Amino acid sequence: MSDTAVSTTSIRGFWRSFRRSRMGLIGLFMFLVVVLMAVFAPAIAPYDPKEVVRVTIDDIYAAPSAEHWLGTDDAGRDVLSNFIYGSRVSLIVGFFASFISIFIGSFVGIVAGFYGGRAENILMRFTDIMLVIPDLPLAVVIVALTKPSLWNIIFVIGALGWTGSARLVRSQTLAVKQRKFVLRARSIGAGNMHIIRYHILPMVLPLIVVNTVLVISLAILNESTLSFLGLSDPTALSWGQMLNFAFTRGAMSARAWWALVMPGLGIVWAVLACTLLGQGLEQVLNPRLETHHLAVGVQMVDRGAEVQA
Amino acid sequence: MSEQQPIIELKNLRKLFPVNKTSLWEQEEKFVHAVDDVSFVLHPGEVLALVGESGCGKSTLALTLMNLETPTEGQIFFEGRDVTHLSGKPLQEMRRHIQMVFQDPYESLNPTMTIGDIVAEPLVVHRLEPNKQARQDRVVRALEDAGLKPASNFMHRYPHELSGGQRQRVVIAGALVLEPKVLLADEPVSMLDVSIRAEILNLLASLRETRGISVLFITHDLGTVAYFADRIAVMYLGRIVEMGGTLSVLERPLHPYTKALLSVMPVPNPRLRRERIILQGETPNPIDLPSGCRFHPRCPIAQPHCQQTDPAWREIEPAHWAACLEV
Amino acid sequence: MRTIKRDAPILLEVNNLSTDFLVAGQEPAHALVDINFRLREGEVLGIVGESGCGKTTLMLSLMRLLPANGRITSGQINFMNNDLLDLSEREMGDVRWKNIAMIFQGAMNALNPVHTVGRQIAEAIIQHNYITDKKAVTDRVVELLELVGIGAERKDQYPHQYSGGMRQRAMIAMALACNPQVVIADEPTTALDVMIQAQILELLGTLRDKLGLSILFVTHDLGVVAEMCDTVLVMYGGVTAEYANVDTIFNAPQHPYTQELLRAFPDLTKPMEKLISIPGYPPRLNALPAGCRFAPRCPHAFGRCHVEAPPLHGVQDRHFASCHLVEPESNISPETPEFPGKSNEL
Repeated sequence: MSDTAVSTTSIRGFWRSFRRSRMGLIGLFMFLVVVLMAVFAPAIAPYDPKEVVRVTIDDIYAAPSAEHWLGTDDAGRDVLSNFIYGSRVSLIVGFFASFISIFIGSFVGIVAGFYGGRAENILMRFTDIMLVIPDLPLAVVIVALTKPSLWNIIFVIGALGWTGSARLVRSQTLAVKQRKFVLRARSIGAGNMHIIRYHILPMVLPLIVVNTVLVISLAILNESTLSFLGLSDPTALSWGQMLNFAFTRGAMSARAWWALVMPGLGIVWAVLACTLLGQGLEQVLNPRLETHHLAVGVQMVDRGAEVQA
Repeated sequence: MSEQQPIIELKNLRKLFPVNKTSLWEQEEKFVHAVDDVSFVLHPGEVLALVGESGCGKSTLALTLMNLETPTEGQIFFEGRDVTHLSGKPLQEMRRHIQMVFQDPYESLNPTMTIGDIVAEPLVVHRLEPNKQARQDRVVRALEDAGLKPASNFMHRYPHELSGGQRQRVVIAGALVLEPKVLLADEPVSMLDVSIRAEILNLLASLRETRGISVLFITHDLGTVAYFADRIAVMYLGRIVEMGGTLSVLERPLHPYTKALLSVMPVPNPRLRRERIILQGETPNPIDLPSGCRFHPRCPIAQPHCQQTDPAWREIEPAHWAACLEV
Repeated sequence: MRTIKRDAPILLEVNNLSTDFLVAGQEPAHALVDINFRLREGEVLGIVGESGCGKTTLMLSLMRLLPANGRITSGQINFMNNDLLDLSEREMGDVRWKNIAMIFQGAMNALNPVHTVGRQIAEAIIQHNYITDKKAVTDRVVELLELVGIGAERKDQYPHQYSGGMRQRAMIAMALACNPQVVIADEPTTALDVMIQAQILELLGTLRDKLGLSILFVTHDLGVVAEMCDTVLVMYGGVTAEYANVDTIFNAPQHPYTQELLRAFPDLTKPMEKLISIPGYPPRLNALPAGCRFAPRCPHAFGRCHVEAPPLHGVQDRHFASCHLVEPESNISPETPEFPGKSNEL
């Protein structure tokens, strides 16, 4: 227990334990690549995807060449540039939708776990109902009924993705609530708000952080799915939309694999990055995952030369 | 001492927890008799030890005193004022004066807070000392009074960097910072190493001398009590069965339960391996209490009438009370 | 006082046992240094010390169940003339429950909540004795339960239906399943109430007399030691502070740590006497002091104590202490230690 306490209370200690997780480091690296790509898109991308291009028939699904490293799409635009700019939408949706999810989830989880009783019953039954309704069809319906703008999509994904976090946060809150320092705070005379702010939240926060990273990957995946189904903001170019365009506009028959592979790879890359990073963080922040191993038999006895002496 | 106004007085305090034993056909209301008709007084500057085994209700009694549980019946007086059903501001105000020290110093400190923040927390909660410097000074004084000197060495450290004894001192400092009149110490040394225990006990004893704090010391260990309690109250199944001055209870125990408890306390002297009165079985379930005297099923001197009559609380020697028909 | 038979044979003989914990990028921590003791048949040896004194490491070393970074670096553990450290893991597995069994501190954690108590005891019997006859196993389970004072009708109940004391009894029954010669009891009564503790201690005493068990009793409670044990090994910071019979330890202790520990321990028979605490805190394994490990807290420490670790001196026949102060009285050379087990009577 004390080792994990070290890791959660100081940043250097945190980094020291995180460094030990190879998966986490790989995830962090992959994640940083995507973020840097999105931030510096105008500097990296060879073309501006919004630029009006004069297209000839040869530019449609042109194979990779020195001018267009990854070829062009159905409108003669540079796939590499589209890909780089597309990361922006995926990340924006990923971040904002997951923040909405995490915010709702943490709120519901903490309230339900901390107050218990009727509040818990109502909130958790509601969570269960949300959990059993399949997200995707519901999201499709809502987005189809409203205008498929970027913020609508963010809101829908965010509002549907909080159930897992709510359950997780609730169970952690229940565990923390039982601990003696909460009783001690009560005996000092602290009220509920004080206890939640000073004692529950800091102890639940590591879990929320881990969960956020994992929810980002889910949100990215959901956004791609919606876009692929054609439910995306037509003005915001995303990986899912690239896939949708390529799919519906004859990339298959044109054998233009580059138009399909790159956005697909991007989605996998981003989702994998978040998952690995989340797992790495979890190993550091979640004490319950710590495992103890027993040494095996003979190697435990290492008497060296002293026995003969 | 007895002419003084008691700082805390309990009158016929009772705390029942309902248990739901609902079957499909019949619904029977049953209760856990955690604390059942307990009365005592705590005088200013006095150390009263509440001794009993687990499940005897001593911890519930402490929580009720702290107003963390509402009593089912009975009254609690604090400095002569009935505080049984206080709420809101007056309750906050009263809570400042009764502070608690918990058993487990590893669990009762939030691992994400520094020692300075932990000790300052009660001041924040009660909105005392809004001035940062003044608050800091009070925290330093509390830490040093609890024996963590110099306080600056500890303020910015985290609980896991301290040893068990030091952590318990932090808990005590957190209680002292509000300058309470009463400390409720719930098994404050049972998780600590033997060589450290004495120092925490001596610290509690010295607080009484220097600050005039009354201590209600809750424990299962008669051995530690013997050193600094003024009076002992022995609890069994939610009730006090014997109460008196420390020496008279230890040397002339009246109640057969106290006698048995004393006889099985391990004594660190192999030449004194005494005849032990080992009670068979375990404390009965506090839901279905035995009839008559609650101790009779395990009592070595039980008589037939013990099954019918619940013994009254009698002063058998001056200031030495017991509830038993056979003494 | 109870005496052990004159010719009781030595069951377990531990010589110069040392255990290290490997720490990545640092010097290994010396968790145990040169531990010596002998355990005779029917003897109860108390191993006493505070947290971090190495008593748990000693138990785990004896059972060869150290965590992955533990290494036994020297010494022998002779059990009935076999060095346990020479055995293969498989042979050791056999010794572990059949010859040396263990009773753990937290009975609730050591019992599996999803199986009945009877079944868990039966499992221990089947695994180690290769009995397959169902009737024989059931009979043995009932016999064991009755031995520890649990009615046979309770064998089909689950651990959560047992009280704390009953669970500890069930643990003892499990430990006795294969008729071990030695039982290691690791703080078996620590979490229990005094009355239940008295019941368990009485039970262990009866079992020792009835079955001729030898018990290694690990505890921090000096009162329990005085009641239960024949000989006592006081440990501090991974080394032996003092080793003698129980009467000597309590009435004529030589090591300052033993003396101070006794003064810090509350004694019901001497109320109102002021308790003396030992200043400072037990050393942490990663920050052991140079020289004598008790020196920083010792009231009698002098210059030499801070630089040179004292060897285990014989104070008298059957009495050993590791302190520079007792050296002048030594009448036995430290090279050929004479241990209490070798004399005829304790």
